[in-house]
Amino acid sequence: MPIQRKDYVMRVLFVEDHPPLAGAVLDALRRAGFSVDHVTTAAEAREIAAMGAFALVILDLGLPDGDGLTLLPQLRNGSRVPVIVLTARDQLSDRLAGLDGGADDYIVKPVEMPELIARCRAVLRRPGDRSAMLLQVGPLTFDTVARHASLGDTPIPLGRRELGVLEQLMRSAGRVAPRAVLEDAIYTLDDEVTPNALDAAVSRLRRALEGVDCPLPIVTVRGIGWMLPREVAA
Amino acid sequence: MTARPLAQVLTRRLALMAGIVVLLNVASVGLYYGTDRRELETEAIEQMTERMSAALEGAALPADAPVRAIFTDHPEAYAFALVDRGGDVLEVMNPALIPPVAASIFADDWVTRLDRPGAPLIVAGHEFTERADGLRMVFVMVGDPAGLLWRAFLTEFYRHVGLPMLPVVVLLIGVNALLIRRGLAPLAAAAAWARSLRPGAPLPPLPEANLPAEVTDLVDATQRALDRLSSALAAETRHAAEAAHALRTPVAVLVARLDSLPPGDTTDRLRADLSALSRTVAQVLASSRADRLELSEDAATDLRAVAQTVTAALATFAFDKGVELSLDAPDHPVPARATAEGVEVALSNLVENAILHGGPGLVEITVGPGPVIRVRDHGPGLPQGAASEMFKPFWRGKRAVPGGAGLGLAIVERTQRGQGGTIEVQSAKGGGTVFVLGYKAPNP
Repeated sequence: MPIQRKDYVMRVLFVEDHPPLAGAVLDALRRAGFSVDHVTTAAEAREIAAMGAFALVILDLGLPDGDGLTLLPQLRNGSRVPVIVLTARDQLSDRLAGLDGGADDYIVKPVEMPELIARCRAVLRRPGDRSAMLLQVGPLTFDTVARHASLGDTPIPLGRRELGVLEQLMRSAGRVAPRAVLEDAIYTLDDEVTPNALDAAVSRLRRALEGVDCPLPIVTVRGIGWMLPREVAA
Repeated sequence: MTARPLAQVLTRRLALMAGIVVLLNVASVGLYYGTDRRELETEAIEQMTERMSAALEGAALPADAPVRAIFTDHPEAYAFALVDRGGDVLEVMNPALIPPVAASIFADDWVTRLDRPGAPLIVAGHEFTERADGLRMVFVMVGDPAGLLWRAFLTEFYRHVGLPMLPVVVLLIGVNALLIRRGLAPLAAAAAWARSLRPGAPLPPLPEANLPAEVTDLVDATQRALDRLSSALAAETRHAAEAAHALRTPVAVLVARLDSLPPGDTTDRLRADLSALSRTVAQVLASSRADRLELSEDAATDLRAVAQTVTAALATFAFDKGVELSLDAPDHPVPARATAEGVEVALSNLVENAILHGGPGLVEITVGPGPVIRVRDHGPGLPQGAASEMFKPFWRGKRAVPGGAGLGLAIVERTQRGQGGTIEVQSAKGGGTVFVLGYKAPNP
């Protein structure tokens, strides 16, 4: 189910030359509440990027008049606007080139729209970004300022460590949050660190979510970390 | 069969040629002297007079001179007489053989041949002109039991063949071997250069500027072939990228359009169909690239890092299919001689395969010990006779879920073959199937 955010409108620059795909993605982005400017060539993209301030750029790599990776630094032009590369190139070397080239995320087509929108939100919510006040995954809501989580209207009572874990899991919903990332999230809050403090925090969080009948489980991927799915499994 | 160095082959051929020339020469010299008996007799007589001259001290022949041995041993065949200026015989051995007139012939050197029944009688006279006393020798020979003629033949042979030819032949072969070696050195350098060529990689610097024309030609031809190969490779890479784009984009459009459909059973089914289609497209593309992965000499990939990436990437897919993923890896990197791309393709396909066909439950990915990754499911195990068939393209198990193309394991097999790795499958103890990806350790 798509996530709805109505607090304010974000302007997105969408560079994609394939008309049917552009149309379909445009619809989905607009339904998700983004205000989207769409261009089909690198030249147009340079022109419009110079004029307006965008919160995010979604960039196709195979453009009729140039390569997206060459265009990327020109679109940034010194600003810190996040760029998501959306491309059919799926090889590891392509992905590395994209991320090394300064992309904030690299998404291979085809991509489900909820996933695309969630990843757009994720790059918009990088640390230091004031827009990241309210996180939402399915019925779960997390207020990052008030440090408070709720399921629908029901508040979920959580300790500091559990809140830290839940925040990270919601930020990377649909993807695995590595153990190291979660450890960083809880260990900055405490002086005393025990080896299985994270496991204990996850298991307390899991019990708390079950206590309020949360339909989203915390999935263990042993050897990697934990994951909060964006949707309940069919 | 191992190839021998060209320098060695050429040197051997040259030595063989020289050998044949020497043999021909020996044969012709042998034939010449062997058929000219008189020449040999003259030579044999000359040798005898030289020995006699060397043995003479003053006018008399010492009683113990070694030259006497032949006359003592063969009294019926050889005889000599020493005659002074006055015609008096000073010394004689086996006088019966000497015709009486021989002692009174005053000439510096003479030979006469008297044909008799049996062997001819050869009589020769010689004056020792280096002495002032006019001493002469008469030498008689009937037959040749001591082999004086044979000795003369060997001497001739040595003088006319051995002495002039052998040093020249040895010198010729030696100098040629050296020249061949030096001449072939640029070829060895060019071969080393050719060995360092890699398709797609920039050309290494040429060995030397002053290569001989033939080698330059070879180097040029190699370079041209490589250029063509590089452009063909580049074209193929471009085609693969274009194919990827051409196949993925329509799927991407469908996936994006699906989002605007109202939720419901049909939408869910469409979504499942699309995700299967999308996976098949990815597999077809991976299949077209599977054996084009290039493995450089110093390739080293951390299997643990790739396994972490793949496990994390497939966690959502596994969750959707009700499967739990688990990764068991050591605390340290596990290097293998492989490309990260290849390991990722092979492992992704194996884990997807296990998620789809291993039934609900746990899929365990284990890295190490050594450059090995195991993927184990807890499903129904291997079908009868599947182990030999399942890595062929389009093979599908009887219980396989609908929608797959049967490409996954074939891609794994080809990817592994392309980078010198292995893939094995076995039934796991306690049920389920284990797939084992094996790699070589990286070059030190």
